[in-house]
Order: sequence, then C-alpha cells, then structure tokens
Amino acid sequence: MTVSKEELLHIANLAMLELKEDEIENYLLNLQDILNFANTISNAPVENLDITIGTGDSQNRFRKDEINVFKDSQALLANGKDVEQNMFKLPKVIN
Amino acid sequence: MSREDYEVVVGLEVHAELSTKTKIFCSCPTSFGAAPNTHVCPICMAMPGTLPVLNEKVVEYAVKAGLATNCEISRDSKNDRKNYFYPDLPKSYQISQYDKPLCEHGYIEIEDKDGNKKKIRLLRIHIEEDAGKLNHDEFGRRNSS
Amino acid sequence: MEITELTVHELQDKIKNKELTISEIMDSYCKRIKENEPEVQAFITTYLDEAKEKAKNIEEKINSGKIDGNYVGIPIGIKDNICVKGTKTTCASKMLENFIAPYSASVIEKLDKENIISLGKLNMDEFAMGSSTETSYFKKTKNPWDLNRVPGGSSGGSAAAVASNMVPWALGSDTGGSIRQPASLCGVVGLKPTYGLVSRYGLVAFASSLDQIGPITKDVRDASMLLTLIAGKDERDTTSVDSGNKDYAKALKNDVKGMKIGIPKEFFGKGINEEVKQKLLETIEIYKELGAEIEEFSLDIANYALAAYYIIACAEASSNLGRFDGIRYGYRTPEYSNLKEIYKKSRSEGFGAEVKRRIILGTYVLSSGYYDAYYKKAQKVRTLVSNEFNKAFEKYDVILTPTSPVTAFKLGEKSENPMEMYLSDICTVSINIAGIPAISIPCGLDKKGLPIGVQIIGNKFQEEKILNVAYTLEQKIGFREKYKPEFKK
Repeated sequence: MTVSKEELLHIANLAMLELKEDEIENYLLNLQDILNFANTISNAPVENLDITIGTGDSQNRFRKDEINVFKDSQALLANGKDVEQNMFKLPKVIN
Repeated sequence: MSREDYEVVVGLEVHAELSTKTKIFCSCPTSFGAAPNTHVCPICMAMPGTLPVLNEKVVEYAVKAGLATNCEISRDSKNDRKNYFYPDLPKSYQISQYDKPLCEHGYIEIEDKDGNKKKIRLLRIHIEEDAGKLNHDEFGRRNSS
Repeated sequence: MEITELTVHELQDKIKNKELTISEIMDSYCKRIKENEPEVQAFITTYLDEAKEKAKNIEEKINSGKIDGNYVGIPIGIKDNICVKGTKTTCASKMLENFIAPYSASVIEKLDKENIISLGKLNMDEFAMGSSTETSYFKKTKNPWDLNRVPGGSSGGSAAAVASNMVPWALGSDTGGSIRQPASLCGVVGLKPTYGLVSRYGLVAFASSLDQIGPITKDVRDASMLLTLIAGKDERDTTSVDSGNKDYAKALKNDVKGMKIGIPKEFFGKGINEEVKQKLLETIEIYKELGAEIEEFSLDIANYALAAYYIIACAEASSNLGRFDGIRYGYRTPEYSNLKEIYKKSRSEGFGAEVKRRIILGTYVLSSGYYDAYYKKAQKVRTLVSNEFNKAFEKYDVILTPTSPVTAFKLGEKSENPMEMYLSDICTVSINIAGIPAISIPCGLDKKGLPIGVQIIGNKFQEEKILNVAYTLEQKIGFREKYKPEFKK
C-alpha cells in the first residue's frame, strides 16, 4: 500500500497535528518504510486464531459505589494555563 | 413513488443517567450543585498515568435494565474507546461500548390503539461515561470547562 | 570500595553493622552526581538538597526508635514517566516540561512507605518512545562505558545512572524492551515483570496493554528485592494481579542443575552482531557446565512480533496521547484564535518528531479501511506469539536469547532512520506482546569494551525462575567484579 500526501494530511488532521512541508516529506517516507515492514504480518499464520486484546486474564474487576473525595482539587487546576473561577478558560466553541 | 410506498422506521437512542453515588470510573460524588471542578480527581481530570476502575453499581443497573427489557445479558462484555477532541472530554476519548455491549436483543411489549400487542425491539443497552460540563460565558468570547 | 559502588544489599549490610550511616550514603551519592552528571546527563530533575534533608530527618527518627525497616534511607532514581506528587513529571517532553504531578504513582507510594529516598527523575526517550534516549526533549544521556555512545532506551537515564553509580538502583518502564535493552547496553541488570505483576497506576501510559514498571539494578539480588517491594495487586489498576506477596530474593539458589533452557535459533540469526552471538554461545556453554540442559528449538515469531508491536503500541499511543491537548495541563501554544488551533499548534509544537511519527502511524492503522489489515491482524499475531511461547514453556523452564542485537551504538548513528532504530527491539518486543517476564544481565564485553547482555525469558509469573537462572550465571561470571565503566571520551 502506498500512502499519499492527502492521506497523510487527513490522518494528521484526525490526530490534531499540523505538519510543516519538510515534515510531510519526511513522514511520508518513514510511514511508507514502517508500513512496508508492518506488512510482514500479512504473512503470519493466523488464519484460525482469535484476537488478543490484553495479556491479562479477563475477569470482572469492579469498584464499590462508595464516595472517596480527592482532597487536593486545587492541585488538579494548578497546571492549567488559563484558570478562572475554578474553570479552564477557552476560546468560544459555539458561534 | 407515492407516499404509500414509504414506511416510517423510528429508532430511538435513549440516554439514562444512573442514580449511583459515584461516577462510573472513579470515586468522585455525582451530586449536583457543588462549585465547578470540586467533584473531581486525577482520574476524571484525565491526569497522565491514571486508570479507570468500573463502578459495580453501573453494571448492576444496566443488567437490571436489560432483564426488565427481555435482553440477553452478555457473558463476555468489554469497554471501548471512542476517540475525538472536545473540551468536555478530558481524556480525548469516551469510554463506551462498541461491539460487545452488556445487553442485547431485547424487546418491550406495547398495545396499539386497537388493543393488539406489538413488540418494540431493543437492539442493545450499553454503559458509558458522560462528558464534563462546558459553561458558556454569555458576555465574553470564551467558554470554560 | 567507594560507597556508591555498593549494591543495595551491600549497603543494607553496612548499615546494619553500623559501618555506614544513611547520611553518609546520601552525601556520597550527592557528591557522585555532582561529579558525574555533567558528563553522563542521566537526570532531568535532581532533588539533592531535599534528599539530604530527608536522610537527616530519617536518621534522627531511626536513632530515636521511631522508624525502622530494611530499606529506610536507601536512595533510588525514578524514570521521569512515573508520577511523584508535587514534583515535575516530564516524560522527557516539552509537552510536560512544567507539569507538576498532583498525585503519586502506586509504586512511589510503596517506596515512600519504606522510607526510600528519591535522588531525582531520570532521562528517557520522549514518552518512552525510542531505543536510545535521544528523543528526549531535554538532553542526550551518554553511555558510561563510552560517552560517545547511547545508553539505549527508553529507560536510558535509569540504566546510565545505575551504571555510573549515581543511584544504587532505579525504576524504569518497559513497553517493548525499554528496561532490558538499556540495561544490556549499560552493563547492568534490568527486569521486565509479567504484565500485571506491578501496578501501572501513575505510570504515564504509552501502550497500556504492554507497559510494565520494573527494576534496573547493579545485580540480580537487588532486582529481586526491588521487585518484591513494587509487586502486588492494586485496586487502582484493574489489570494488576495478586502475586501472593512473594519474597523474590528467596528464589536465588545459585543452582541451575537440571533446568531446561531453550535456545530459539531464530534469535541468533540474521541481524545479530557476530560478537554478541559468540558471547551468547559462551554463556550457553557456562550454563551447560553449571548442569543446565540446553536445547535448540525453533521460535519463528520475532519479525511478526516486531511488526505487531509497532502497530499495537502506536495504535494505543495515538489514543493515550490525545489528552495532551493544551487545556488542563501541559504545553499550550502562545498564539491561537480558536479551539482547533490550541489543539493543533500545542500538540505539534509540544511533541517531538518521534512521538508525532508514532501518533500518525497509530492513527493510520486504526483508521477505517486499514483497521482489519493492520490492527486486527496484529491482535491475532499477539495470539500466535502467546501460543508459541506457551508451547515452548511446555518443554523449557526458561528461554535464553541476546537482549539486544548489537552493543551500544554511537549517538546519532540511528536517530535519522526510524526503521533501523525499531530493529533494535527485535529480541525484546515479543516478550511484551506475550505479557511474560524477562531479565537482562551482562555476560561480557565486546572488543570495544562495551557490555553484552543476555536475556532470560520465563513463563507468566515465573519471575523466581528467571531470577535464579540469571543469578546463577552472575555468580559464576562475576561481571561486576571484573569490569567497570571507563567513561571513555
């Protein structure tokens, strides 16, 4: 499979990344290179195998519905660039 | 084609907020009325390194809803991530269910105006987290979350 | 012997015998860091003054009988993708340059409970993506054996700090070899535990189904001790399991008689450096002398596993790294006019080239049209790899391979060619894909004087077996007594 420039830009947009012209060229080459290697798996003998999602045994792991208040909520806001009245401020999203 | 050639098919997506004491994936309270960003913890604020832990009450309620609506309850169910960027979604993905919901193939029975019984099929019931809240400032140019 | 050359169990003995105090140990390490750090560049953040202060306080508490314990006052270094409350956790990224963690990882809480003292946060590849620590936004860590060479990665800072005696031991994380490969390149011991043995709560996620925290130490005994401290079920990580509170040091028997060691011939073929291969063959001979039963077999999965690894790891990373959007924490672009610009510019300016490359690859393999061909197929390969290992462990107690196909390479040698860099992980990734444990220990030097590592792989939760097999070799060859890093310029 060959990756086109349009496809790369579409993918970058989905990932919220903006690529510069020289990056585009570079990433196209890299991506092609890596995907060519990734295609190795098309030859893997996996016809009758199921997928594995994680490596742990799947079993139910629940938490009780009990309140546990995190005491340092200020520390959760402290890394914000623009915080006002306990909220993160942003450019408006609805016109 | 005339109007008679068409059949109306109605599908409903119903969201129900469960009356649990805590959120679905962390132990923060769900009660309303507190100051913004006080019922939060590293998990629901999507701090790097945190992991979700499922509230058993959510599963219980969903299964009860499934039993009440004649669903098959899945023995094997999982959660999935729905990835998109929006300010009310701190992790940039919503933990939801895609191909293995908790309950499937249910129905409820109703009577039409002539008293005939009619089955309304129910495709699935799945559990998912709700997004955070955006507050829109009516005077300024900004939103807060 | 210098204090900083001692292992942790040697430090413990000296503390117990009143030959050393905690303050003396801490002062030695702080001095060592001041001397060596300018050359080695292993740390992103150091807390030397705080560490000395803590050591003093702890010493007073010990003297007044308020606390005791085997690990009280022992220093450690922490890879900078593990959260420590109230301090910077950067993941070696501009994105998190000023991020102060609001909570501590579960492993950190465990170390705190023992009154172990952190000397600082260690350099790594950005978000643990790399095999040389060169993708760090902050600095390039040097290999203590040859300062022109890389320490490996992604836990390169951890391995280099242990090898250069700036910390007695360290925590790293391993997603595809990130503990074992730098341990191999720096001539130290690195253990990747079974997936689920150690809680991941507080480890900044790269690929959640592959990541594990583990020890990087000077010897196998220290590795078994640090594993004992950090292992165990954690309610905050639902993938963590109850391991039964084992004391892993008790597994060290210095005896491998009758143990069956499998040698997968595909791991000794194309792409493996000849000197590495020769040293491994010598190591196999040593095991024979020690009474182990050696058998060659076929385990033809390395290429499939590597391809599946880069698909799965990047797919998971593309989702995990979405949260770095410039809103609640992390880098935010200085100029923006709308929300999408905050997202795009913050992420494009905050992430380095390798991270962006992997996010793009991950988004690509998850996108509609390619999902089945890549991601789903990779998940099937995962089953294949597990099945093949299961089959092998029906016959063998452990499996032995090289850890890295090459010894430490020069800074810049591979950083321009991602695919070549990815091949550095060929011997290690299949272990993460299968979720099993493996340890790397040094088994000798090449002609350039660079360490060569041997990897011992075990079945799930068979850490005791691989630790004992590694320990027995370590006792026989005495690598640490024979060789020391030269800081070659």
